[in-house]
Amino acid sequence: MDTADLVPPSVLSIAEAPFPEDVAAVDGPVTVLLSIVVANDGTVRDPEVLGGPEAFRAGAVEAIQASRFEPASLNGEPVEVRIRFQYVFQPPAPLQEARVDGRLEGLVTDVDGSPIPGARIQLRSSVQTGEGEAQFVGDDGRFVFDALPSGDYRVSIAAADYVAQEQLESVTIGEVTEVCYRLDAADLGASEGDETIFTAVGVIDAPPREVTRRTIRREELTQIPGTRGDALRAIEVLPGVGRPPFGGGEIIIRGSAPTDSEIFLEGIPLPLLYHFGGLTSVYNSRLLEQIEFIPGNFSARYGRRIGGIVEVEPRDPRSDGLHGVIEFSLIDASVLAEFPIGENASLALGFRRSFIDLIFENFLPDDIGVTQAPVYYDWQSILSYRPTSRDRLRFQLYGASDAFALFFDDADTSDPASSGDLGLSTRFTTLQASWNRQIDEDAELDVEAAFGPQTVDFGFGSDQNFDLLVNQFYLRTELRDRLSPRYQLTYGVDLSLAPFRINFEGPPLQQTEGAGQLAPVASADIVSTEFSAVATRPGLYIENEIRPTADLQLIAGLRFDYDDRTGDYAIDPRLVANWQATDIVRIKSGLGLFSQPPEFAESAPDVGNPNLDMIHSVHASLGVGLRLTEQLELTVDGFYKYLWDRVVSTEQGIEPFFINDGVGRIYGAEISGQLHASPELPLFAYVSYTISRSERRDRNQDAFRLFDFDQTHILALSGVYELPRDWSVGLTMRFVSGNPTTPVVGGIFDAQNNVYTPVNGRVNSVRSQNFHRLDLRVEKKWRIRNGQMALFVDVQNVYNRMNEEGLAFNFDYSQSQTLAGLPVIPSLGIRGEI
Amino acid sequence: MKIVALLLLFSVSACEDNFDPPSLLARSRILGLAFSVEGDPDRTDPLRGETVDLRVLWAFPNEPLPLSFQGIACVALQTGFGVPTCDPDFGVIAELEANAPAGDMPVLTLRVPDDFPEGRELLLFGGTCAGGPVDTLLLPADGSFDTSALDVCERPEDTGELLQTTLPIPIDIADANRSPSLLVDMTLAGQPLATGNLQTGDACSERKDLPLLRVGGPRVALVVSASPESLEPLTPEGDVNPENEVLQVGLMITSGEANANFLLIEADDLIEDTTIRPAREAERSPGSDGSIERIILSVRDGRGGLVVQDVAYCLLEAEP
Repeated sequence: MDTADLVPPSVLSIAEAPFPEDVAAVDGPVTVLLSIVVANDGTVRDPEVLGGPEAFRAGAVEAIQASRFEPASLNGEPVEVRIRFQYVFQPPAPLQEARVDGRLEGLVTDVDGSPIPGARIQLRSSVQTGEGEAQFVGDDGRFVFDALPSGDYRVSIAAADYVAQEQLESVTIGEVTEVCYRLDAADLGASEGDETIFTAVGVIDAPPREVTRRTIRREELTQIPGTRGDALRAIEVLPGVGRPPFGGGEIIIRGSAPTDSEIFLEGIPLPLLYHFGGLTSVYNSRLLEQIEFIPGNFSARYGRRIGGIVEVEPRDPRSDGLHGVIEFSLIDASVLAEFPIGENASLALGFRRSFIDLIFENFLPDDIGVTQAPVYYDWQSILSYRPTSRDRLRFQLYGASDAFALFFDDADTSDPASSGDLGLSTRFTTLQASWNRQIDEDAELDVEAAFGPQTVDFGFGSDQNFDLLVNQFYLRTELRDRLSPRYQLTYGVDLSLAPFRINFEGPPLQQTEGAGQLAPVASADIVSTEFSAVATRPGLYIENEIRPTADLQLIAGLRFDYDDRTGDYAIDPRLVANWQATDIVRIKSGLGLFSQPPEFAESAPDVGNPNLDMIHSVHASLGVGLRLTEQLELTVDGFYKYLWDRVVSTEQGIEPFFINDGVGRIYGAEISGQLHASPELPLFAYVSYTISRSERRDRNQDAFRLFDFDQTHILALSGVYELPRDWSVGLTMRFVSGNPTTPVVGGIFDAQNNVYTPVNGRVNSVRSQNFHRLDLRVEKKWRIRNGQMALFVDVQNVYNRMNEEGLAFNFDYSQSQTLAGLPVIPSLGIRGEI
Repeated sequence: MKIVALLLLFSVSACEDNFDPPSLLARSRILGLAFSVEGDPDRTDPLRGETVDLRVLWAFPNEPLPLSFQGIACVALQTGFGVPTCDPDFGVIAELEANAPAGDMPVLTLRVPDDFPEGRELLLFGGTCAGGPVDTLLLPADGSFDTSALDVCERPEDTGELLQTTLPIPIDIADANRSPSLLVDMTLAGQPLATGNLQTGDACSERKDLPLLRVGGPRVALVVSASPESLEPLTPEGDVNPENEVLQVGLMITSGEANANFLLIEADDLIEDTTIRPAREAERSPGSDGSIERIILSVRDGRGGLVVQDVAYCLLEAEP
């Protein structure tokens, strides 16, 4: 028989047997070895006990007969096979004692879930035994490292005839981190004698330093429907995340302006998140470990922003041989390769290019010519190196390029200045280096440095040009020192040094939020400025993490920021309290100040106000987290934010053009549920609902008005169900209240320039239509000898809802019509992995 | 960046608007204001103490209508954007009102005060109505327009427009703009266009002096050319950085569509890639005698000059 054609059975569901009550306490799991027949319908019959304690045998036999398998198949046809199966009884969990140390425990199995006795686990960190310690797992495949200080640990797993692995794990005082490592066999040929073991595995996340921190797990990142496998777009389903306007490429977090939030890649701000305003993100999702979304009350390590934070964590390249992924879709294609270099280093290289330029011209009206069709690229390289057991070095070189150029043959009917060449290009390249050192048992040092140019070139016609060049240098150093089991001190410095050059020509700069319909460029007096400067923004922070009891965590932080462009500084105290009230219930609360410098252009001479001050905000939040089961979590969070010293335009753009007179208030509540997949229910799902109100006031004498992206209701449901035979199907549904808009009540003829200027009504006094959309993703995988293939269809806007994205006006503003968003867009893709 | 997002939106969704072509003269439309200093008619910028005449120019699809204007003049607040506003430190300089019978243009006469602040511009803001009087409620005496009302005309059946313009008030006559006569010529399908008192819809099949287009026919080239004098640099001769004249050309037609309603003539002295699409059957039925269709051309220069040309061609029935 050609065993390559035989696919062994796999577990669909395992019935749980009760742990015998009359059995004395045991140290660990108890295994009963069975021989069973898995019928071709997946049922189990003819169980025979081959070994194991007598008291457990009957329960194991009863449970296995109620279990279900995906039957074995031969040449694609289901066949009946007899296999050996280890049924594992987990001892009842002892009453949890308050732990003042951390524990890492887990299981090592092969790809089919069978334990690998004798596998060697090495914990390469400075714990109790100094240079690290190693264990050989027992017959049940389990291992435990106890009494570990908090920190990141490098876990190496090796076993004869299996491909070694190395993983990074986080251990936290008072928590148990459970892991499961599945090793690929060096010889992948299947055999009838393979053993199968089942056990539930969960990962207990490290406790957050923020009140609300939502983590999307690595295995779920790339499966959210409607994102075309783009992990960073998965943020859109999280509570508190607003719907950005089409083409905006922005993230709206808890009613904050997009510029108030920041995306960090391993502690360093990412210059650009999405290609072409939201089409796809600039970083290959398959190089990400996880994404953390912190909508407010974030740690003092983050500064210069008053909205929310997204922290993107890349992973180390795989060190267990050559791996590669090639993916083609109708939008773009990408390639990723990763491999070890010597014993202590590994490298990943990724590249992506879009295909939009091949079809773009077909969608354009006749009077628009294409000089350069839209095209985007991005690239990533990660080199991870571990010179000693205490040090990890990681070097990254990544970047992105977006560019297009069009020619508008006819003048815009409402703005004659909007004709001729239109071009936009954004590019950045970043070289980033990070060094993590475990100084001793209780202290750890992180150093991150990044440098790279960022450019934005925009031009339209003869009157509108904007060129920006920033050579951004960024440095972050952080030291974490556990001074006692109940007290940890974290302190650090982050420095942003940005020599920049701005070349601007166009209508006077103005606040666009709350501005309503802007006047045509043809009616404006064109202004220009060209200047260079260095923006120096040092920040210092300190955080005290105190655990008065095992259940209570208090984090008191203080941050200092200085902005030399405005000469202003900020001192922001922040406090977070987390209380693990019961095993299930966690109460969390936070209060803090946050500050942000004005945008470069707002404080530029000639077109802005160099005397602006920083913008400030206070965040207050209170939440409850319920971990109902290992798979199901529910959270409820309430928040309030008040903003002051917001930068707003002066009335009608009179000098000094921008002032700090704006204020804002935002309040709301978020409810979310997460269901993680388990063998019993192979479904992961997110449900989130946000109700909020975001208001602004631009001048003292004005009343509060709605913010441009005030979205009262945001409901998102997303789920992916793993079907047998490696099929999966997922849906994402979103409902969002329509954005506030400012009505245009008419137009005034500008006799000098032969155009009409709009007359705006009350700012944001009406709303556009509600937004709703359904996205679908179906994926089928095939396992091949050295990897797998996948074919997927990702359909955005399944029922072709014409969502309102704005209004278009005729030349004199007497008529308007709705601009609809994207229609149904199916995206077919294929992916190959080795 | 909003404009880029909108452009992408239009592009990706292949979305073209359903508005009437901006070039279509389907109702009475304002063309602009023409300035002329009394006693020095070529000059468009008055000095302090001088009087300037302002003519309100309209285009009508058919018979001309009586016109009215009501507005104010004031010192313009130096703003960056938004609806132009009077500087409250100076108040209203003059209230202006003029009416004209059908076929004539309202002419406003404004004397610039002797103490007009140096370096500031004059703002003219008002409402003009075709067919009847301007609503007197539009213009409170303090010059604060209620732009949210925007009911310019007293009678709802009339067509009204709000308009505004600013006018520099130079101190030295050498700094004042002068607009030479703007000489612009047009050909349609290689033929010159007829001028004169031609009424839209009049029979024309026997007129051999008009270009002939047919309903549903192909697009034909409209060539607009300007005289070299019209394109003389704005800056004095010998200036090291001469600022070239750019003529703004606005196009309106009584049926069909011009592929642009706004054109620029710059260093080249003509525009030759503009086309006219004759009306389709659903848009116009000229009858067996054909129908006069008009093209209204308004030309502005950078010195305050404005001329209007009203020309015609003959639209014939579709080919059988």
